[in-house]
Amino acid sequence: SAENVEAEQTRQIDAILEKTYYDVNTHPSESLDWFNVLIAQTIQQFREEAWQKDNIVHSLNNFVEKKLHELPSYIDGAKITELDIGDDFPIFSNCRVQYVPNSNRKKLEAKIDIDLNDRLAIGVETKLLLNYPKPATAALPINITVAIVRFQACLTVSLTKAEEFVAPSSPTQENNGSGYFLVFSFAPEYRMDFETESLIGARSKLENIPKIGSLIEYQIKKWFVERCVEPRFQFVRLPSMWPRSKRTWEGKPEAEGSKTS
Amino acid sequence: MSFDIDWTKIESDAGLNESIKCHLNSYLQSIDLPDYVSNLRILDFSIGKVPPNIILREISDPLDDFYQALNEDIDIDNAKPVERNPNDVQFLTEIEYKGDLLITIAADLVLHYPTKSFMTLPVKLTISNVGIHSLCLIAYLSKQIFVSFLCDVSDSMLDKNESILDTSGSLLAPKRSLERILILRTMKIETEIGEQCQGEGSVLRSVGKLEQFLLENFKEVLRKELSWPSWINLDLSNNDDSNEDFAQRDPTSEDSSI
Repeated sequence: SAENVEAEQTRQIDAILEKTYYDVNTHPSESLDWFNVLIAQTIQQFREEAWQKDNIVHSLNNFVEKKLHELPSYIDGAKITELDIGDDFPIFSNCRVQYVPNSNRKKLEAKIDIDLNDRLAIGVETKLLLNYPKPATAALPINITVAIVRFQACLTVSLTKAEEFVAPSSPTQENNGSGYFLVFSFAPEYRMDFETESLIGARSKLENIPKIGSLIEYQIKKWFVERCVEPRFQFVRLPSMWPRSKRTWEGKPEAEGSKTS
Repeated sequence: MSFDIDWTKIESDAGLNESIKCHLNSYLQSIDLPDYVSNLRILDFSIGKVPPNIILREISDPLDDFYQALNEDIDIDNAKPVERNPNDVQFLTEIEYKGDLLITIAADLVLHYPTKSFMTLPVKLTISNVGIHSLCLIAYLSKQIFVSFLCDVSDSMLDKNESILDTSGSLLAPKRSLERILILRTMKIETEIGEQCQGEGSVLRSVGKLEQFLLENFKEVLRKELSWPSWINLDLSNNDDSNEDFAQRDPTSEDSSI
């Protein structure tokens, strides 16, 4: 019966906690310093690749150019003028495992604080078109640089099977319950600080209008909240970790060059 | 100027001139004419080759008045009140126009001298040299555009040390005197009547009255219909497009805008 299944789930969770020496009520929170180092390495590699491709702004512009036809008709082109992928790293800390609230001790989740102090910026040059009474009757040039300079949040991470959740946007989305999923979400009390610069107009320009900043911040936060702030979760299927020969590598032999000379 | 305006698209648009002509004509039908004029109608409207100069002065949230107006219009039964949306936006602009707009009007001038309805004369009037230099609010909210003229840029109300858009300030006071608002700076009216009448003083006097009547009427329309606390409201919600943009989307522009 359903009651028995629930009792079994609770028993399994309790056994896991006992055998991993983790008491959710008394275990102190952990620093996650090791995780920060690995994440920083990953990000560092990403940044190096980005800069190695020399002109990342250039390639982004090529990408935008291909996508131009998808822009709404009141936007006339778009040129990336600045891109800052930052030089700092996120710091995860204060990790603790707890029962998922209201799950009747059937599920576990990890809570992690995240803090990012950096400058992640993108600058765009575009034109707003007035399509009345004729297409492109008037155009308003716009230069905007928007930067995220601070992000602070509490991240919830758990592992689960798919049946616990529904996809709000596309209910037909394939989520056959096999395998595990990594589920993460941010608590609604997050902090996201922006620095927005704007220059609007052709010959006479308006500079740094607060309304323009709030329009953009609203759009970015809306995008973020609709994807990964509770009660919305991001759902990532975990790959199989079973050791297989096609994934087997070994290190290069040391000092091979000196042997042959 | 803040906006790059491609006026060639507008001046060559016969349909636009024609639709403005129709609008003006339907307005003319609605006004009470004095006894010395009948059959007032627009013969020709030309928007001219010179664009207005538009300068953005401020970008902000729309004034409360626009939301109130929309909510007063809503049918109580299926009411879902219009609320502030972060995408709503309002531009304070400075509009300067000294272009070559030309309106040709025909009328029948009725002469009441020496006897009542003694003679009816066809006349043709041309309106030109229209000059405007005003502050104008353009707000976009809830798929509607609101346009309202605030005052001439040289209006002494602007000398006061207060924010233009301060709703408790004198510029947006709900009962400010309409008489003070000047939108039209210049306007020239010229009359053509049959040559054989040029020497008749009484004909010319009636023409002068008609010119004066038209001038006052144009100023009155601009004050009553376009000046704060009145405004023009353009409803875009019937467009089949659901984007929350503040430029009207024209389905034919899909390709040409890229």
